Amino acid sequence: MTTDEALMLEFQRGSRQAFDELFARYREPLYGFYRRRLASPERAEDLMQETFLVIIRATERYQPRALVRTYLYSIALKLLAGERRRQARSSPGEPAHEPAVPASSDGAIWVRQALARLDSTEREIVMLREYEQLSYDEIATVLRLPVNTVKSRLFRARMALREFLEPAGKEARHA
Amino acid sequence: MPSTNHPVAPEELIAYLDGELPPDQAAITNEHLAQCRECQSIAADLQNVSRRMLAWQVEDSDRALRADLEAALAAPRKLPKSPPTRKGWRWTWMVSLAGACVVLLAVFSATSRRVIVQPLPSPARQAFLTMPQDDGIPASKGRLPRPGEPRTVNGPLIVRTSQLTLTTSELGKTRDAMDALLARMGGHVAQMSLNSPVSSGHSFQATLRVPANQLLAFLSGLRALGHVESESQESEEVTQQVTDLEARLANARATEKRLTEILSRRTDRVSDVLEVEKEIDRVRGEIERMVAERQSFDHRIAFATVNVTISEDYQAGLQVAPPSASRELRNAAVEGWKNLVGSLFVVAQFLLSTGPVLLVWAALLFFPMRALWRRFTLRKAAPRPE
Repeated sequence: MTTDEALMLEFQRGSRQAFDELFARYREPLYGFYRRRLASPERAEDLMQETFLVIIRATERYQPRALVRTYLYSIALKLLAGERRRQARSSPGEPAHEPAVPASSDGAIWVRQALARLDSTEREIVMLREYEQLSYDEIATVLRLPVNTVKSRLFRARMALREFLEPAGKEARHA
Repeated sequence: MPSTNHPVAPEELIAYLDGELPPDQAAITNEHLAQCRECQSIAADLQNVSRRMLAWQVEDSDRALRADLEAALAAPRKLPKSPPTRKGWRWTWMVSLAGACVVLLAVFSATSRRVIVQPLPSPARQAFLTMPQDDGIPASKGRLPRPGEPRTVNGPLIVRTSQLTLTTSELGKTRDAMDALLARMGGHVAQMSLNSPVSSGHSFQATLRVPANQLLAFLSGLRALGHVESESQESEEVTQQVTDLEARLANARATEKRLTEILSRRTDRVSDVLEVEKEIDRVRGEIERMVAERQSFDHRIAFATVNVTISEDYQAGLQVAPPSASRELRNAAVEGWKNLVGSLFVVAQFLLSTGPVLLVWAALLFFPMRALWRRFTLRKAAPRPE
C-alpha cells in the first residue's frame, strides 16, 4: 500500500487520484475527531472538509518531514480551537471545551461524562490516543508537549478514568 | 498503583500496554508483569478503561466533497519550492567569500590612498535639489511615468551607458566646467570621488546621470574639456523586459481587483475572509515590487549613465630650498629612536615566541653540558703523566 507521505507528494505534483485516496483514508477518522468534540454533526462535517481545504491550499508548502497523519491532526486541532473560540464568542455562557456528542448507549454516556471530568489537556491526550490511535510521539508533536509529559499525563488520565468509570462498571455488573 | 520498589514505573507499564516501549525495556516489563500481581491488576484495569472507551462510537460521515473543495482541486496549483541543495549552499558560500574579498580589497585600497569624497559642487547640487521628487527629471526635459500610471510601450527602450577618460592640465577648472555642462543638460551627479595623492597628479571619478536625449551633446561638450584617453559606449535594449513587466503588473492589478470584490461580497466563514485577505496582501506585495522595478527601468531608460575619469597631468615640483641642518638632525634622531624601539620590539617578540622552547631545552641540556664541562676542565687541570 502506498504510504500517506508518498500520496501527499503525488498530490503535490498534481495527482487528483492521490488526493482522493488520502480523502478516503482520513475522511472517517477526521469526522470522528470533530464529531466527538463538537455538538453539531454539520459543523463536524464542515470542519472535516475544511481540513482538506487547508491541505489543498497549503500543498506547495508541504515538506515530507512529518507524518501526514500528524500534519492532518495538527490542522484539525487548530481548526477546532478556532471553532471553539467562535462558539465561545457567540454563546459566552456555555462551556466550549466539553466533548459534546449525543451518546447512543449507556456505556457511551458514562465514557462521555467521565471524559468531561478530566482536565482539558489530559482529555485531549487520552482521546487522541484512544480514538485517533496516535502514538506518544505524534501526540507530543500535535500538542507541542514533551513525550514524557504525554506519557505521565496519559497515565494520570487513565487512572482517573478508571475511578470515574467505576460506578458505571458496578451498575452494569448489577444489571 | 505499583509501589516504589517495583523495577517498572507506572508510566512504563502503561507505555508497555500501548506498545510504546523499546524492545529491551518491553522485555523487562513483560518479565516483571508475569510475576507481579499488583501490576497485573493495574494493567487489567487500564486495559478495561481502553475497552470501555470504545463504547463511544460515532456515525459515519455521509457527505461528498464540497463544491469549494472541488473548485480548489480544479484550480491550478504552484509546484513546491525545492529546498536549497548542498550545491546551492556551496554557491552561497563562494559568493559570500568573494564578497568578503571585495570588501577587504576596497578597505585596503581606501586606506592606501587618500580619497576625498566631496559634497556635490554648488551648481550641480542646485540643479539636483530643484528636480521634482516624484520622477527625478525637470519638467522642461520631459518626465518619467508616475507610479501606477499605465503605459504603452512604443518603439525600442534602450538603457545607455558611456565611459570617458580624460586628461587635463587643470583639474579644478575642468570640474567646474563639467558641473556647469551637467546642470545645463539637466543631469545630476550620482557618485563622485576625488583622489589627491601627495606625490602624483590629482584625479577624480564620477558617475553622472544625463537625460538620454542629451547624451550625445553632453559627451561632445565633455570631450572638449581635455584630452580623451579612452571612450566607450554601450546600449542594452530592455523592451522585452519592460513589456513583460507591464503585462505581469496588469494581471496582478486585475487579480487584486477581483479579490477585493470577493472580499466585499463574502459574509460567511471568518477563515475564508482571512484567507482572501492574506491573498490580497500577497498580491499587493507583488504589485509594489513590480512598480519599483518598473520605476527603476524608467529611470535607467530616461537617464543615460556616464562614468567619467579625469586625471591631471602630473608635474614633479623642484625643491627650491634644501631642508635645514637642525631639521635633518631632528629627523635622524626620530629615525634612530624608531629603529631602537623597533629592534627592541623584534627582540621581545622573538623571546616571547621562542622563549618557552629555549627554556625547556636549556633545562634538559644543562646537567649533561655541565658534566661535560667539568670533565673537560678536570682533564685540563689534572697533572700530565711524566
